[in-house]
Amino acid sequence: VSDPTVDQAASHRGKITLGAVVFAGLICLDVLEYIVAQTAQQVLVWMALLAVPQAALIAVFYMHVRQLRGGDR
Amino acid sequence: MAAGVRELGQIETAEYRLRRNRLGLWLFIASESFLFAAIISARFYLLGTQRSEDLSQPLGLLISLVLLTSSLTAYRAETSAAHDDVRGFVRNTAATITLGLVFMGGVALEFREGLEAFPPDTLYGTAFFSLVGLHAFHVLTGLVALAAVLWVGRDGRFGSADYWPVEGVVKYWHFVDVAWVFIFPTLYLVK
Repeated sequence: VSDPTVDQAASHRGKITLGAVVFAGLICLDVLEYIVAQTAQQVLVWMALLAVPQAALIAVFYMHVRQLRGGDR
Repeated sequence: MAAGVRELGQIETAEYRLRRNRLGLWLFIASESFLFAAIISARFYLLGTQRSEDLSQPLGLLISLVLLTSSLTAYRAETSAAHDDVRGFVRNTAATITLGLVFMGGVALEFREGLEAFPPDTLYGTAFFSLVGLHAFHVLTGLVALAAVLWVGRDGRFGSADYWPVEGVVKYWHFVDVAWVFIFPTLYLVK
C-alpha cells in the first residue's frame, strides 16, 4: 500500500519539474523569436509560427485547458 | 445513511461549483481574447507591418522574459497551494508580484520614451498606447488579485481541499502572459 504523503510529495515534485521544462521551452521560443526578427525576411509569418506554440504551451500546461473536458485536478 | 447521502451530495455540489467556476473564467478569458485580438487587428489594418524604430527591442525582450518567469512562479504558487505547501505558495506568489512590478517598471520606461517618439495622437502611438495600456491595466488588476490571495492565504487557508481562488487568479495571470506573447512581436518585432 503506497503512502499518500509520499505520493503527494512525488506528485508535487513531478509538477514542479514539468513547470520548469515548459518554462525552458517558452524562454527558448521567445529568444528565438527575437533572433529571427533580427535576421529573417517575412517576419510576420515567423512571429505567428513562434507565438502560437508559446501560447499553446501556457494554455495546456500552465492553464490546464484540458480540465474543461471534465478532467479533475 | 442519511449523513452519507448528504456528504455525497455536498461532494457533487462542490465539484459542480468548481466546474462552473472554471467554465465562467474560461468564458471571461475568451471574451478578453477577442478584445485584444480586435486591437491587434486594428494595428495591422492601420499600419501594416510598419513599426517604430524608437522602441527598444532588447527592453521588450527583457520584459517578456520577466513576464514568462512570473508565469513559472505563478504556476509554482498554484501547485504549492494544491499540495498544502503554504510556504511555497507564499514565496512563489510574492515572487510573481515582484516580477509583475518589474514588468510594469519596464512598461513605464517604454511609455516615457513612446510619449516623445510617437505621441498618442499619431497612428502608431494610438496602436501602441491602446495595446500596451490595455495590457498594463490587466497586469495591474492581476497584481491586485495576486496580492489579495496572498493576503488571505498567507496563514494556510488554501490547501488541497479547496484552492479555487488561487487557481482562478493564477489562470488570469497566465492569460495576461499569453496576451503579451502576441503583443510583443506585434509591436516590437514585426517589420
